[in-house]
Amino acid sequence: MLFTGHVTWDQFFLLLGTGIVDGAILAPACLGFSLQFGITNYVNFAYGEAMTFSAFMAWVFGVEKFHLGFVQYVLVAGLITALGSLLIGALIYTPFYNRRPQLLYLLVLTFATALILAALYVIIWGEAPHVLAYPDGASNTHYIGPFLVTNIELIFIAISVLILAGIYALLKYTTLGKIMRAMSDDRSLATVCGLPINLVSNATWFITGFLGGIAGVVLGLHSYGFDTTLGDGFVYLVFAAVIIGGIGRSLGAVVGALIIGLVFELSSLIVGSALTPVAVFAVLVLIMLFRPEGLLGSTGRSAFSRA
Amino acid sequence: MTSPTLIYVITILILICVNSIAALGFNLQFAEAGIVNLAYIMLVAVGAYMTGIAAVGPPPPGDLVTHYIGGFQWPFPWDLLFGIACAVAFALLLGLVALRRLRHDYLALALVSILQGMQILVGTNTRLFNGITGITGVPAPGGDLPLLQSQLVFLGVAVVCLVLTYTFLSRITRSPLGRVLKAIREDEEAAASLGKYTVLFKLTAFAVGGGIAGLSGGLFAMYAGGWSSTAWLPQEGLILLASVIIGGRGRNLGVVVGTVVTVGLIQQLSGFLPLPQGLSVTILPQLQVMLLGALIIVFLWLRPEGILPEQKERFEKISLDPVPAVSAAVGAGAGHPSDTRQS
Repeated sequence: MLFTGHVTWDQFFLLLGTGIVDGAILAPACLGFSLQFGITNYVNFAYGEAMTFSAFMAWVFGVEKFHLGFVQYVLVAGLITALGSLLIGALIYTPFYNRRPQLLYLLVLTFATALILAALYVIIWGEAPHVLAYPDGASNTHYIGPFLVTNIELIFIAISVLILAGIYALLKYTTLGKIMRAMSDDRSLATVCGLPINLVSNATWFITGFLGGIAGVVLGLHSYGFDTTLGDGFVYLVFAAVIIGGIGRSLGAVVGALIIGLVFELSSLIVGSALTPVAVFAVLVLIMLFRPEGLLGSTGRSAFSRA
Repeated sequence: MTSPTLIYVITILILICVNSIAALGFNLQFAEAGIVNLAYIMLVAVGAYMTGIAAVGPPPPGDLVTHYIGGFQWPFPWDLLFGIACAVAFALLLGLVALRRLRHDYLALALVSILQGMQILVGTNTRLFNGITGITGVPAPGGDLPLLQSQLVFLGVAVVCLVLTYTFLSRITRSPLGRVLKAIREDEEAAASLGKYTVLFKLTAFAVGGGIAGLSGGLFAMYAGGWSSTAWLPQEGLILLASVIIGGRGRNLGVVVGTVVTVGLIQQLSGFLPLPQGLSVTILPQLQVMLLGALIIVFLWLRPEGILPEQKERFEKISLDPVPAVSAAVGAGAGHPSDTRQS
């Protein structure tokens, strides 16, 4: 099944719309992951686990126990995930970085943390699928221009735009955002300038945890039934998008997210839906071969960065 | 004496041998060449799948749900050699794309991304390797003998493979290639400035490590009689990472010791410990993953060089200047790659 027959415009626009929605779901997650790397120097393999955690928190607060409304449980899950991210960041990651800042150790540390968390989730929530509570009329469809979208997909896009605008304003106009950018540019220089490195690191863990949390709830809603592998099955797209956009670059993360979302959906027209990961790899390989610093990455840092 | 205890002891020994082979290959990539390949288990999977499809026959004619490529019915050892060759080829391809220009952090990220994507691709695509069910009925050498004999034959095969791998890797470590790899690991720019084309050396280590991964994967598939997408989840790679970190990265003997600890003590013996009240046996694999992960973090924090640390090579001080004070200052960086005598 290499070519799925002739493609109608309806199909094309349906997938284009879904691709944009996928990109919108990916964007906050990619932005959070990229900010974490830029500011704390951690390639956080446990980011998918933060998303899984948040989806389950949304399930606990929306379905299992407290039956909160839609907006409430999204926010509560996001905030609890942010707190969890802050805890792990402040208690494990930051002290570890101060003791052994070698990249090799940091990579192994977050990889091990990710698998510990994943195992913990299976112990707590088992392997059965869980379904979140949807707001009324979530699956009603509209035509917006040529795109056929559901209400919930519009909500996803709205959440994504709100978050991206919020982070843009934070980075551009607040003191915290300026320090975050300074640390991302040159951590040692920021340190000798007397900027509150640890405080801002912790703030970063909190904010990026919140981003991952919201992304996790949205992902849980989007997948109509999820289990503890929710984040793992998604986070490879986040990694790919971040590499494509340029790691540590905020705009790059958003651009990468949109590209991956579109490639993921539109490629199914050509290679069939079972082979979409291949299309994502193809884009990733092209980037690795021809622009290894990412589309918007800077070439300033040495290609021989030490392990 | 065909007691279950004896069979169990043989099983543990086989698992230690096969896991040691896998961990040694990982050590070559991770510790000798400094490539943070947290997706190593993917190379193991390539060897296992390709050995599997070379060994089994095609799906039976009436079976409409089983699909996989291959089905050559090759006898041992040709199926295993085919698996190794495919793993080397896959590692070369992956290395050619990823190792050339990517920074270390990008590389680690890209490899894990490819691992997760491959998982989904192979798990959901039933045409390639029969999806989530995987390849079954892979024959083991001596598999038609009675239980005890067949286990002993397989143990023999595993021990021979381990000894060959160990000897081969020890020779690599001592060879000029091994010294260049360590120089690249310590300071890639310095090695490059000495005229070494570092990508080629890293690619060699990556491919050789991939071949060893393929060997261990083929043995895994034969021993278990099959291979499926749940056999190479990222957490299956954690035990190899733990073996290398706990045992001592960069030292082959340390890696084997680490494997004895992780497979023998943690994976097997932990099953005999009483579980806390109210916990069921089904969560044991999860508890083991958590224990392995926690051990890795504890070792990284307290003793990152592992139980048996790597023996750093010492080089005689090279006098570059007649003034003794200056020459002592230069020689103070003993073991620095710029002092490394390369062939």
